Amino acid sequence: MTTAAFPVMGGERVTSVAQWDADEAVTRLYAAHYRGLVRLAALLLGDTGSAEEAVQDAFVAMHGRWRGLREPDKALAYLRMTVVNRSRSMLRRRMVAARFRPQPLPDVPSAEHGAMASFEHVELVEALRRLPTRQREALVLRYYSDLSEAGIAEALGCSLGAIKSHLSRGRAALRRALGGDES
Amino acid sequence: MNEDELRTALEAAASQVEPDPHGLAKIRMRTAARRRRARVLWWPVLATAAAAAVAVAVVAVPRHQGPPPRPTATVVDPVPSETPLPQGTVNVPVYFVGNTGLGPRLFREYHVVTATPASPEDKASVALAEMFKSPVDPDYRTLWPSGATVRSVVAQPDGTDTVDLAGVSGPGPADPQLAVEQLVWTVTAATGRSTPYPVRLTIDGQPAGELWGLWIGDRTFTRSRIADVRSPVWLIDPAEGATITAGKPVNVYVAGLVADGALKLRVRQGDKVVEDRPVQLDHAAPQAGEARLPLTLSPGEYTIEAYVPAEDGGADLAVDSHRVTVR
Repeated sequence: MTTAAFPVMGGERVTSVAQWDADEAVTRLYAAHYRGLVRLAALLLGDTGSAEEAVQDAFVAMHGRWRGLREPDKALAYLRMTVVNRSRSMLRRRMVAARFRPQPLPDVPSAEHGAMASFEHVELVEALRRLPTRQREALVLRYYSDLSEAGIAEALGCSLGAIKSHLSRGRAALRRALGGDES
Repeated sequence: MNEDELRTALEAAASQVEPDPHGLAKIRMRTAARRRRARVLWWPVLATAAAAAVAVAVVAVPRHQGPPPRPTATVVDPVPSETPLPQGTVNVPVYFVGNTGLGPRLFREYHVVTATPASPEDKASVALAEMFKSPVDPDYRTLWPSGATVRSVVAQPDGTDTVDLAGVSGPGPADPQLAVEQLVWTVTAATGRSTPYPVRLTIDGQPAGELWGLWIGDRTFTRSRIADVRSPVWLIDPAEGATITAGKPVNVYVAGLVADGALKLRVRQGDKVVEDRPVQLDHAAPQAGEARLPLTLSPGEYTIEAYVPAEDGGADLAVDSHRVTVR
């Protein structure tokens, strides 16, 4: 026997990916990518609580679609895309809420438990947050998740040209915001 | 800020974020809630006081040759016949290991124990204490060393149960992973919590590193799929050593997960086979099925066997046999 799928990491019981069921896929992908995806979402959203919510939503969605995904790479791409989309709609909701409640957003990093505490990074995160959504997403996927420009285009459903443009404008805007030179 | 600096800065900012360690439990609770809608219910058989005994066989035959198995619905454990229990006792499910044609697999017994557990966790402690002892059926065994004890079972706010063990520092079983499955199935059956319910292990009140070469750490363990760990056949009731009233039909109740929903029931008296008949379950793999059939026996000693015959006519793929007395 020992084809058994023990749903924990460690590979003591070797199971081929094709035999993973949705629960095992969640467990394995969680162990490998949960932290990275939460960090990705935190860069997009600015706080850890919302980031975790977005990533958990993505895992639940992935669980429901595992039969169609079946491969860890596809599942990771799906998770990442879902995290970006969830983060975007969370931000949109916040914008709407903020319009009716003109006070500091509840997710200001310094006010949020578990948020990016270190002051030196707050500046960068704040600058990212002020960028247009697509520029922020493109920059984070390129320089944090290390996706290629083509990979970002696929994840965001944009043309390659649009991604190049988002990236170059985003970089320039960050430089200005952080007081670096304009070169 | 050049590209490398941006990379470094984003990595540094991101590294400040440490996710809450209970993310997986939260995801599991949500995926389990989804699946609960599709769950198959097993109804306990109502048995009159001493008249009818009930046999339940659970058959879970994995078929890995075909296309990848589809995730199957979570199945509530089949429950044996309900007989009145003496006051101050509790009937707890306990998992043991027995051999099958697929390798060692989990079997289950119900043990009546003198105890009055006040909570599901207490009931799990009682069941684990039984798991560390011997099974009633000599065909089964426990993979846990004889000195093992349970210190506590505590429900955590994050939706996991933490089981604290002692006496497990010595040499362990060859298959520690199956031993952990034995524990997880016992705990979750005793608490009655829906699967996959995560269980954590600690040893002597401390977070455990390795247990017999298996990394424990902060891992949560859940039941593996039925087809992967459970015996292809269970004969739950009449239990090993049961006494049956002669001349009255025994209501045999079989349930399982088997190709074509086909298994067999055999009754032996010594070496003589007095009964051997096919049993058609109401569902075939990948769904669990069940069936009921009456069986009338004259006084004597019998062995009742629920089994999955081998496709090529060789040794049975798996058998669960119980010796019973009819009088």
